[in-house]
Order: sequence, then C-alpha cells, then structure tokens
Amino acid sequence: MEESRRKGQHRWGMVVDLDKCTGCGACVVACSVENNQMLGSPEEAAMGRVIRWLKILPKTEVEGSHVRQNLIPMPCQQCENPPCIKVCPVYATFKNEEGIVGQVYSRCIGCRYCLNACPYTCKFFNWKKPLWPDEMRSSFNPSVSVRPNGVVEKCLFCHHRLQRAKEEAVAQGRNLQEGDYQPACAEVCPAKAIVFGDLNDSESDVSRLCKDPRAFHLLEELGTEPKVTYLREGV
Amino acid sequence: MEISRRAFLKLAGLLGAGSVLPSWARETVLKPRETPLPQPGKETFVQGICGMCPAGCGIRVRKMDGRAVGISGTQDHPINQGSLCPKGAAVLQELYHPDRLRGPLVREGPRGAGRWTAISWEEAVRRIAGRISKANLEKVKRPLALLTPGEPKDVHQEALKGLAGSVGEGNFVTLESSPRTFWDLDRIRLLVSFGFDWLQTHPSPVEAQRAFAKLRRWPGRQRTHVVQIEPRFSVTAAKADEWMPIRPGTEGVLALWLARELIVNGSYGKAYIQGHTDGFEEFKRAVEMLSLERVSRWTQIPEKEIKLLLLKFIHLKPAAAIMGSDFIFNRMAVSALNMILGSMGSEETVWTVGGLEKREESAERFRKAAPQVMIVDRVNPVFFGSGQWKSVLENVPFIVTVSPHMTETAEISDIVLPCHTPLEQLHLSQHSTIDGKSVLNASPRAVEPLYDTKDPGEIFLLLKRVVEGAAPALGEFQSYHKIRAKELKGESLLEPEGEVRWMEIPKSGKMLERFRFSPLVDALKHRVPELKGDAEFPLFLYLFTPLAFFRGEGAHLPYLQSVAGPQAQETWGTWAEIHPDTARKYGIVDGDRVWVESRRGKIQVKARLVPWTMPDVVSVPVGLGHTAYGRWAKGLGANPLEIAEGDGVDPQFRGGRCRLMKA
Repeated sequence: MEESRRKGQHRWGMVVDLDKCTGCGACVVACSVENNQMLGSPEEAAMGRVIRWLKILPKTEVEGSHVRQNLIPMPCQQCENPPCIKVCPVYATFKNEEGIVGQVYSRCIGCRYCLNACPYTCKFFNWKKPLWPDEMRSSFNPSVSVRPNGVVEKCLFCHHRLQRAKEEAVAQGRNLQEGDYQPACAEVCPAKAIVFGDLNDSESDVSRLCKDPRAFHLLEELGTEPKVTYLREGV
Repeated sequence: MEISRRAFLKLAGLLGAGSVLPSWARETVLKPRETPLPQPGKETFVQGICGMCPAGCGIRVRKMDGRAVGISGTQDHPINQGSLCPKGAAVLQELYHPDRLRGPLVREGPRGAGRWTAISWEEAVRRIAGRISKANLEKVKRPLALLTPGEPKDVHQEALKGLAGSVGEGNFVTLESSPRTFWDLDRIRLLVSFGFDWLQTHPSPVEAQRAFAKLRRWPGRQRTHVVQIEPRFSVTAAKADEWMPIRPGTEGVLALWLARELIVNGSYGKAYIQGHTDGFEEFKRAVEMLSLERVSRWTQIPEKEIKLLLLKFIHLKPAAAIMGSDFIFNRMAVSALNMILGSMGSEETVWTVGGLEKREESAERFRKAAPQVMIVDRVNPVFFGSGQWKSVLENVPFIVTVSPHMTETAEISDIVLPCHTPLEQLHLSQHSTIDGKSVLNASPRAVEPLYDTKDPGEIFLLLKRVVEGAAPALGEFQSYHKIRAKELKGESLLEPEGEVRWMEIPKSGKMLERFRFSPLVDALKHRVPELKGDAEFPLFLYLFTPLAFFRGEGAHLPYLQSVAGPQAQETWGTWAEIHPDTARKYGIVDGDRVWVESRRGKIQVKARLVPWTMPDVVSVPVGLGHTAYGRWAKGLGANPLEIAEGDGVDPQFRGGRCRLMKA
C-alpha cells in the first residue's frame, strides 16, 4: 500500500457534483485571486498561454437536434499515480505523503516534460515574467509565491491553507478536523458543488460521495487514479 | 551535519559562480528571479459587504497591514451563505485597479478630447453647485436630472434623492430596475423559463446558483424538472433538463397557448383566478384564436414538443413560469400563464413578484427636454444605453459623472468625481433574498480609501448643502450614515471589529395587486406578434450577457475576462455564435472575422460555428467593446448594443434584425 494510504495519514480529495455545478466560474476567479495567478491578455489568450490552475472545460454532445453540454470545473486531478512526476528530471514535481502533487518552483528547470506528460493539461509554463501593475502587488496573497518566468506551475489544492490549518490545529492542541482546510474553489462555490476533504476518513463527505453510483474520473482508463472525482449529471 | 551530494554540488556551484563571475554579472546571475512578495505584516480579518452588484452579499476580507489580500463569503449571511459569485471574487481587482481615478477631474477642450485637469474637491463641488443653482434660478423646465442604478436601496441613493428633492421634482431617474421574483424553492416541481438566462442574469447571482443546486438535489426534497425556452443554448439551457429553441421574441405566444390549453383542460385553480384576477372570461375568449399549428409556426417549435410541455404543466405541480425583463407583451403573457397555474402573487403560491417598480422610460423623457445639469451616479448609459442616451447627453450642457473609473460616460462629462470602490465604501442597504426575506446590511469601510475619493453619498450630501447655500461640512456623511443605521436599528452592525454586518428585517416587498387580464386582451386584439420576413436583414440578432459582464460591467477586470465565455471557450474578445447551416450560406468558417450588420450599424466579431444555436440566429455577448474603462477593457471586442434595436437597460437585451458579412 502506498504511503499516503496508510492509516492515520490524510489523503486529500475533491468531489465535483456536475448535477449541481452551474459553470458560473466563481471557482476560477477565487483560485486566481488566492494563488496570485497571472492577469492575462488578449494576445496570451490567443496563444493559449493564460494560466488558470482551475478552468471550466465544456464537454458537448450533439445528436441530431439534441444537445447536451457539461461545464466541468477542472483543477489538477491530483493523481494517485501522476504521470507528470515520473518525467521530471530534477524532482521539482512530486507527490507528497498526503497525496498532493506539489511543484517546487526554485527546482524547476523549465523543461516542460511534465506538461507533455499530463493527460489533463493541468500544468502550465510561465513563458514570460508575469506583468503586475504596482497597485495590484498590494493584493498579492502573502502565503503564495509569485512565479518567475521559465518554471511550471499547477494547482496545489491550496496547500498553503493546509499548512495554516495544521499550525492552527497544533496551536489549539488538537488534530486536524474535517472542514479545517478547504481550497479556495470549494470555499467559494455558490452551488456547493465542490466538496473537499480527507479520503482516508471513511466518514467524510468526500469518501461518502466517491462511492456514489454517479461517480467517475476523467480519463479513468489511463490508470492515473485521480483524487478529483466527478458526479455525473442526472438523477 | 550530513551533506548530500545534491547540496554539495549546489553549494560548490554557487561558490564557484560567485567567485568567478565579475561583480556586474553576479547581480544578474545570483539574484533570485521571483517577484518578491510584499513583506507579510499584521494579519487581520474584517467582515463587510461586497457591493460589486446590488445583491448584497456578505464578505470577509483578509488584510495584511491594512492591505486587502484575500476575500471570501460570510458564512452565515442569508444571501450568499459563505459563497461568492465570480464578480464578488474579483473585488480585489476592482480595489487595486491601476487605472482608477484618483481625484476630481475637470475637462479641458471639447467633449471626448480626453484632456483633464485635476481640481480639488472644494472647487469641483463649488462649480457643480454653481451650475445647479444657476439653472434653478433661471426657472428652466428641467434644471437638474440624476441618473442612478435602480438597486440597491441604500444610503447613497438616499443622499442622492435628498439632492434631487432640493432642486425641482421628477428629476430622479433609475436606469435599471427589474421586478424581483421570490421563489418557494421547497415546493416547486416544474420550472419553465421563457427566455430568461437566469443562471447568468438573475439579479442575485449567488442565490441563483444555489437555487439551481437546490432544485437539482437537496436532502428531503424532490427533484425539480427545469425547462429552458430560449433561442440560444445558454448556460441555463445547458444545465436544464430540456432546452427548447424558440424563434426570438415569440415566447409570449407560447405561454398564451399553454394558458389556453390549461383552461380548456380545466387544470387551473378557479377559486384562485376569481380571488386574484379580473377579466378572466375576456381573456379566455381572446386566446381561443391561438391554434397549435399557428403557435408552432410562429415559435418554430415542433407541435409534438409543445404538447409535451403542456403535459408537463398539467402533471408536474406546483409549476412556475419565469421570464426576464423582456418585451412587455411577453412579460404579461407569462404572468397570465402563472395566474392560470395559480403560482404567482400571493403568500401561498410558488413565486411572487415583490416590490414591483415600474422602470421609467427615462431616455425618451429627456429627449424632449434636456436637463441643464445631469449627474450620472455609478452607471454608464453611453455604453449601456444603445445610442439613445448618447444623443440625450449630447444636448445636456453640463454633465457630472460619479464613478471609480473613467467610463465612456465619464469621458464625455464636464467634471468627473471619483467615488470609493465597494471595499472602501460605507454600506447601509436593504435587500431581499430569493425566498423573500428582507435583509438590512450595514458596514463600515473594509479598507481605508487608497486615493482622494469619496463615498457617493458624501458627494451628494456635500452638493446638497452647497446648493442650499450652507457651508460644506466635512465628515457629515459618516454621521449621517451612523444616524440612519441607528434609525433602522442597525447601529450594532457598524462596530469596527464587528463580526455581524446584517440583520433580518420585516418584509418590505409588496404583494402583487389583483392581476388584470385586460391589457393583454387589448394587446392580442391590436398587436398580434409580427412575423414578417426581412429580405434585407434576414437574421435575428440575439444578445446575451455572460455572468462575468453582468449589468454590462466587468470587462475592466482581467480575472473576469477569463471566465466570460465558458461554453465556446472564448475569452478576451467578442464572438458571435452562428449555426453551421447559416454560416455555410455566407461562406463563413469557424474562427473567421465577420461583420454583423443591422440598420443601425455594424460590428466586427469572431465567428464561432456552434451546432447548439438556432439557425438564422446570431448570438453576441454584451459587455465588451469599450472605448474607455481602463487598460483591460478599452479597445477590446465590440459592443453589440451599438447595433441592437432594443436598449441595454433591460437585464436581458433584445437584438433585432441583422445580416452577416465576411470581414
């Protein structure tokens, strides 16, 4: 059994209920603000270089005059078996003991192997030094570093919030509890479609929802074992 | 200490590089490339009110040494319950926008020349008050007009009304106000929207998303069947159980046919109709002329599907039909259908219309008699008002705009007064939740103002005092705000370190009076919807507003640009959704630049061929195409309101007719 599945350890996971999600994009904006993400521009958008760790992926099926479209909020899938970490020559991307796939910017040499390896296109390369007007630097989240050019970045499940929650729990002399730690996207969701928690805790909401018959993973056949689970639309 | 091979090499490399490199290169090579974060300081959290739209959500602001660095929803606030919409989440970008106005400006040279000189607040107030007093003395028909958003009902609007009251009457105009609907989410089984993209344009965005989730699955409640009738496959249509594409503007006819059939079937509450409406018998006769075949031809919905919809109305009860602020005929028709369903207007029903306020046909009113002085309060009619307002404002000799940004309206103004952004403002406002509760919000400033700006209310109080010949008093608005809060029993909400910024208050929404069918009967006699073809402009222009640009605002914030078009994956530009069959006729392929032309003009946009729109309908988003409004909005995309036949004041815009040309 892998380290993160051992008893007593946390294993963080997310469930997105597509039946409730309305694709409003609040999670995308909250994620951008929380993680000091680049501002973007029309030019970068045209080249597909605007970095958003969480994006809304439309999945459309047309059959005759019938159309179905799912708007799927897509953060890093936090694979249990992540293809990206296997190709990193410098150990800049790794999976930590709690299952979060991390990225160390100062170690990254910008080879972009991991970008190619990620089947979910959830890793992003900083092609340019991000431009920040001086005024906007005031609102940088001090808990998250601003990435330089030449490195890869990705969703870390708001790992800095986990650190903080752990420190607070230690200060209060207790263990981490369900709900102590929520990433920005789950916290902001107006439809309460994003649920986050500990997969090792069989009582947690995420564990319960993962067993829902509607549950599925993106590109399940690749064997990446994502820790982001989706619940299909419909009854 | 154990030194690993990696650490050793790193250290050796650094030492080597450091000693070998000349001193000028050492700086470039060894300096870390990351943008340094501001030094973390003292962290505090304050509770406040969002203010990015009139919904009135509670927010919790994370601050570092007074700087706002994070935002989240207030957990127990009755409106947002801990969540935010994308606009609320972007409130920090509004506060720290680099192109915000930093002090009062007076225009130099002709209108629109873009030359401005900074002046002091005293001087600005003196000049404006001087103009108002002069116009007042001259006894002109309309000395002053004030243009303001209809919502929220707050302390700033109250101060503006005070200023309006001191100079003449009939001079206070709200630019937008749509009836709020209250939904009984626990009971509703069928929700049919007649052209209302409510997930994107509901006046309370957070509540709309939450309501949807609740309709879908909620412990102890049955799943609601959701139907969306709309020409475009909107986000709401994508999320609905069924999307029924309909020819633009014919939603009302469909609603009336359904009403007719429900009457024929006897599936309506006779007691309810008697108790709440007048003119039912007349209405019953009037709708007899609507045959299924005709309605199907008008709406372009197959007869079978219309019948199926009727069955849903008969069997899934309670049902509700909703509509946006659409053609008045459609609005009346959908209201009539609700009456037949017995689902509107009283306490027991599924949904009610409260605080119904008639929107004033303001542009028309001013076209005839232009005011001498016009004060535009935090709205942008030049961008939003589809040409009408532009021509009205041209005839106004003196325009003052109050806004945090240099908007299109500010650009043609004589004096621009910068107001605080929502996080810097004092808040005191009344709101209603989607299920009909009334909420009082009150909060002190979440952050101290960054620049030489003022609360909108303070500006109006100052102006009022000077117009009335008194000396301007500094700090008057702060005490006014406190006194009003006290009068509303909300003074405890203003505690500087307070955790609670809201309280529930008795319901203020008036219930609808008896519903009268007669205007609808008259309309049916005289104005049966036209179905004339248009050889010159054969296509329909259908305008929609993405949630990111809700109320036409938001293009100035880069994070909102990123979420504007999730369905077609379009961002940072204006696109047109065209059916492949229609595109083929014009030789257009996906991604082409095309002209969308109407009788009023033409705009250039990117063509997106999508099978999920109706043939002969060109759908274009509203919100881009600014000629001002800061670096991110200016010059990006095109404004379809420039060519639309309706006006932009309605939350949902009408387009009119158009044609396509390859650019």
